[in-house]
Amino acid sequence: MFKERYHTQEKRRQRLTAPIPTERDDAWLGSGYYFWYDQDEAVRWGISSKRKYGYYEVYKAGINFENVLDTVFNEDHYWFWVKNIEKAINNFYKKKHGEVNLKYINDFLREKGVYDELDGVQFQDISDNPQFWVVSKFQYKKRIQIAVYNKSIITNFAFVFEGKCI
Amino acid sequence: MLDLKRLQAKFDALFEQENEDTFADWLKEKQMREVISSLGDGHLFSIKSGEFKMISDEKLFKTPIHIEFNNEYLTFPQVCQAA
Repeated sequence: MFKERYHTQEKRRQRLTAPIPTERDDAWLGSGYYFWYDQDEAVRWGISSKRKYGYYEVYKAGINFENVLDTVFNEDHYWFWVKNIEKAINNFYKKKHGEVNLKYINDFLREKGVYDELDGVQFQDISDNPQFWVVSKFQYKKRIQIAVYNKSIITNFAFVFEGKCI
Repeated sequence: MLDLKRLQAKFDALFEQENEDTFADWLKEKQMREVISSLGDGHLFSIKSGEFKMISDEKLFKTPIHIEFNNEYLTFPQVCQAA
């Protein structure tokens, strides 16, 4: 059940031999190793957000999906996710709605052990990039990422290509 | 294969044990831990009190943040401001 996914980082002096976990405040699914479903999104992320050294690098890896909650392509997983995230929002920050981002909800779930048996979550949102709209605001293609919490499900991590941040 | 029933049981247990107040306490401590770790001195501190909402880079560098913490190795006053 291994699937290929893409990981983007700034170009560093040495090529990476393993992915780097993100700690960004706006990380959708909390702290974890993030991979893109689509190579085009990996490139776009490199150009827009990995600009520190002027170049980005795209890596690929095989991810074992056996214990991944796939909220994008698995309908049961999707409704499971929606139901529990809505309950978490209502239970934990109804009054502070808008002040707390999804990262903290997911970090909370992880730190409290809910995700102990979960190796990762695959998730999608809607890109706001007009380049990806066929007609105005029609995003025909999903923007999908997986946050991996268990590093051991990542295999065959390898460099694919680098690009210049335009 | 992911066992959704087992995972649901974990969610249910969490919803029974935790509420808005316990989440708010956890969030406050979590954000303080993030600020301390971003200072990069490598020491672990026990946070006594502080006032935080969401912390962005902009807030971190432009707004003075009042932190009060307790650490036995501390060699400077126990109340400080980071800005």
